[in-house]
Parts: sequence; C-alpha cells; structure tokens
Amino acid sequence: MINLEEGIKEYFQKKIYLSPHPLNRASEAGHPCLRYLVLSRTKNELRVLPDVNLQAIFEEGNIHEAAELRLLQEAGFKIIEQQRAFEWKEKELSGHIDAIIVGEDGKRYPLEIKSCSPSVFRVIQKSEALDLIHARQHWLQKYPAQIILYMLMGNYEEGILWFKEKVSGKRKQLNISLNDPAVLEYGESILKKLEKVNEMIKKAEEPPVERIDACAGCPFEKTACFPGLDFGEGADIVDDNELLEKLDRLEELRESKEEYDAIWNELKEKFQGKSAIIGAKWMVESKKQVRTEYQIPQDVKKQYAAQKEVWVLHIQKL
Amino acid sequence: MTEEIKKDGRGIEDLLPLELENIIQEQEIISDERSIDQIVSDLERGVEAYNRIKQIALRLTNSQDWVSMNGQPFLMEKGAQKIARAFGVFIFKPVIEYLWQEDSKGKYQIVIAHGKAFSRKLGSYVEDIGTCSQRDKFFAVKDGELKPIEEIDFPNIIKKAVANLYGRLIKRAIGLMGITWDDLKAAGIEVTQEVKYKEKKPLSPEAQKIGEMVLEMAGGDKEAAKSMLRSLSEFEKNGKKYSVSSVADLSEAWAKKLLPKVEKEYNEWRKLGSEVEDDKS
Repeated sequence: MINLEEGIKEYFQKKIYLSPHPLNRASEAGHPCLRYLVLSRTKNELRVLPDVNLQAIFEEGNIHEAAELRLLQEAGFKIIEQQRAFEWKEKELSGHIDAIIVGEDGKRYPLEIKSCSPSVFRVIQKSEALDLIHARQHWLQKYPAQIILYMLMGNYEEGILWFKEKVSGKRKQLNISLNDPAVLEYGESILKKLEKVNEMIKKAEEPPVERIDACAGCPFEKTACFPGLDFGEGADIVDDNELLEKLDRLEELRESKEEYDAIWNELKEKFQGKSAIIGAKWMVESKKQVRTEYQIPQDVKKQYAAQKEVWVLHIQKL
Repeated sequence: MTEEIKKDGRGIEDLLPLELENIIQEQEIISDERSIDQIVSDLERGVEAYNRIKQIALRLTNSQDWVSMNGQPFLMEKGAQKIARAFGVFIFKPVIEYLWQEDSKGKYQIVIAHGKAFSRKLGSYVEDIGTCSQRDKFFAVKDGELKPIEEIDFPNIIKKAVANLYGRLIKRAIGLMGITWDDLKAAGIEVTQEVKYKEKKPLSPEAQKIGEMVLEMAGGDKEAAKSMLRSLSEFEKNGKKYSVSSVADLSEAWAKKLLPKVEKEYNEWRKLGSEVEDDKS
C-alpha cells in the first residue's frame, strides 16, 4: 500500500538544511539574546537543525501563509510584491516580506502573515502589536521587530501583522504605525542592537553567556553556549494532615462549584427580564440595574498602565 | 553567575554553592555526636526518606515522560525537568571536551560533556559526564552503512552529549538512577512508548540483483516494480499467501530461492525484447 505518511516525512526531511546566514535577518532581529544574533552569523554551523516534527510545523506555516494570500486576493484585496527581498546594507540586514497589500486609497502596507495555535491566538486577541515584545513565547517577541524593520527598510508608514488561528480559522489584524512614538523608539532600539551585533562581529567578539528564558530550546543552547540550568528554589515537602484534608476537600468541592456556576448561568439566561415562582417554593426575579462603566480611550488608558506583581496559585494533583 | 576567580585560583563555579556547604557542615556536626544505634536508626530513616523522595519524584511525571529503551524504563528530558523543578536542581555550566578516536572504519569524534549539579532541596551534589560520538547509530548509520563523518550533523552530536549529561545529573542528584518497571508501576505510571532503532540491513547480493531486474522490467516505474515483485514473490503456505513489495523485506533465504525465478522471467523478457527488435529490423 502506498505510504503517504512516510513520503511526507521524507519530503520534510529533505527540506531541513542549514541556510547561509551572512547578514542579520529581520525575522530574528527581535530575538532577546544578543549572543544568539552574533552566533547566528559567526557560528551558524553549530545551530541544531529542526527535527522533522518542527519542520512540519514550519511547513504548516508556509501552507497557511500561501492560503491566506490567496484568500485575501479572493476577498478583493490587492496584493503585490509577494516575498519581496529587502536589504539594508548599512545595517547588514536582510529580509523577505510576505506581501505588500494596497489599500483603497492606494496606500501600501507591508503584510506579515502568522498562523498560530488557539492558545497563542488568545494572547494575540488581547494584544496590540507592540505588546508582543513582552509575550511569554519568545518567538512572538520577534514579530513586532520584523514588521517594523520592513517598514523602515521600505519607507512604509504603517504595517500589518495578520494572524490566523489554525483550528477555528479565526483571524486578527494588528496594526503598527511609525507615527506611534513607542513603536519608533522600539524600532530604534532594535537598530542599535543590530549595530552592536555588527560591531562585535567586526571585532570577532562574542557576548558573554547569560542564561535567559529564551535559552530553553535555543539551537545554540547545547552546542555553543552551554549556560547550565537553574530550576529554581524547588518545592517544600510538607507533612500536614490539616492541609492535606483542605486540599482533598477543595477537590471534592470543585465539581459542586462547576455545577453551581453552570446552573446559575443557565437560570440567569432563562429568566432574563422575567419573574417567576417555581413549584410554590422558589421566587426568581431578574432585575435590571444600571452600572457606571468608564469607557476610557485606549491611548489614555495606556498612559496609566503599570506592571503589578500578583501571586497566582496553581494546585495540581500528583 | 559572575566569573570571579578566587585567590587560590579556583573559579567560582569550582566551589560548592554556599547553601550546599552549609548543609554539609550541619551534617558533619551531627555525625560527630551519634551513637551506633542512632546511626542505624538514621540510616533506616534515610532509606525510608529516599523511598519517599523517589515516589514523589516519580509521581511528578506521567506515562508520556517515559519510554522503554533496550527493555529498560528511560526518563525523557521533559520528565526530568519536571522533577528538577520540584527539587530545585541547579546545573553548572558544563565543560565540553572533543576527542578524536580511530577504528578500522576511520577517524571520528567523541564529545564528552562534563558537569556538576546540586539539589537545593535535598542538599545532594553530583558530578557526571554525558557522551555522544560520530558513531552514534541514530546519526551515523544510513541503510546499514556508516555515513562519512562529514555527512553527520555535528551539532546534534554535541547536543545529545549535553542532553545525556543533564539527564544523568538530574537523575543522580535526586537518586533516580536504576528505576525499575516495578517502581513505575508503584507510582501508577504505565509506559506505552518504545524507542527502537530500526537498523536497515544492507541488501543481500541476491536481493539487490532481484531489485535491479524487476525495476528494469518495470521500465524504471517504482510502483509498477513493487506490484511486479509482489506477483513474482507470491507463494502459498498452509492456505495463506505471502508476498513482498520491497526487496528490503526479503530474507536472505527467500531472496536466494526467488532469484532463479526472477532471472528466468528477466531473461524471457530480454529475449522477447530482442525478438521484437529483430522483427523491426
């Protein structure tokens, strides 16, 4: 019998190769590690190549990218210059932009298409483009820098990050503008970082090894940097029967709580705007109340944003 | 960690971490004052504690974190990291050594990763090595033959040596070397995954010859060749039909037995071809 799985696996295997990396790449410029950016150019041969499973994920991204471009065109959008190559000699920077999309007024926007999992899409939905530089997933941190560099290289005022959730097909457009001072400032910081990379390469220097979150899974972690590993303080082993009983009880109540919430929500929906007496035992009333809601414009709200430390409790049964 | 160098010439990474030195000092003080009975009792408690730690560590993992390798349970990196987090493991920056070796098949490199680690929670300190070479069967062998070393992806060799080291350090720091199937069963873990190295044996000369003849008869069409081989190799035994569609599936004995049949078919095909050519001329 013809073996499709094996054939596709072999095909993906053939697509795994080490591509030359003589210049900085726009798609990687937002990487949080300076050493990674230097090694990518000076010791790229030590990069661990993706395995077939990771390659399959990359290929999936390419499939979605091509499909999205087709879809946008079918929906009537004018797409030009697909996969246009950019090079910024002075910054030793190159890149390939997915496409340029043309607005009704003829204005051109660089477009970067990204497909993602449902969990990542939930992050995207709550974010503005520049928020992604603080994302937990370090590959998301690279997206704003990538589009900003395309905008700077091609003299585009605005750009679009276009996300597609691979399971449900939901989509989200994140706009990014060089008129936003924060975007411009971030773009300049990326260019300064690339200048530092170029300078170090000229001097044959390497940034020192420093363990950061992005080390986990980095292709240089176990071949060029060897930063070691620190798994933190660890957990206390506690023998306390009272605590044990409380945790057991918490688990028992979990099901009840879920059932309580489900019934409450069902009744809330059923009786919205109505009153009823049920079985001569229960009086159910749905009353309208007016609450004051403060609709603060995003740009004003943003000025008051502050990072706050919170403790989140996770309980897992072993 | 800063790269300070102490007056005695030792780098800071050569020294025991402060918290570990404190633990060791405390233990030294206790051991000075114990009677034999106390020592025995402490040892018994130690064994009990060790078994409890082992149980807790195993319960932090699940069946997805284990594979069967050469018939033994093997903890994968993801599972080792879950345990390391709970026991506060710190792994120092490893030192990598590259060694050239030579055997009858030529020169090759071995990567040796030397490392040390400690558990903040258990106060254990361990040193170990992880190795991998350009003779590693997962990277160096293709179709039963050793690949030239230039074709072996060297970063994968280094990575595997380091990953081996990290795995060994974590397991040794927690005391999880030599975990048995019974240990896993007691922790409620059922291992379903198996890592097998599928060694492709080189084809026997007979099988190779069969392959060449069948492919030629099929005009170079691989699918047609498979179908032709299926038909040529088919035989019946105890009411059951057997056949192969790839020469790689032929045993040496089967290939020897099949070769005359395929040769006969091939010669007839050639003869037929030359007769057609003669007719044309």
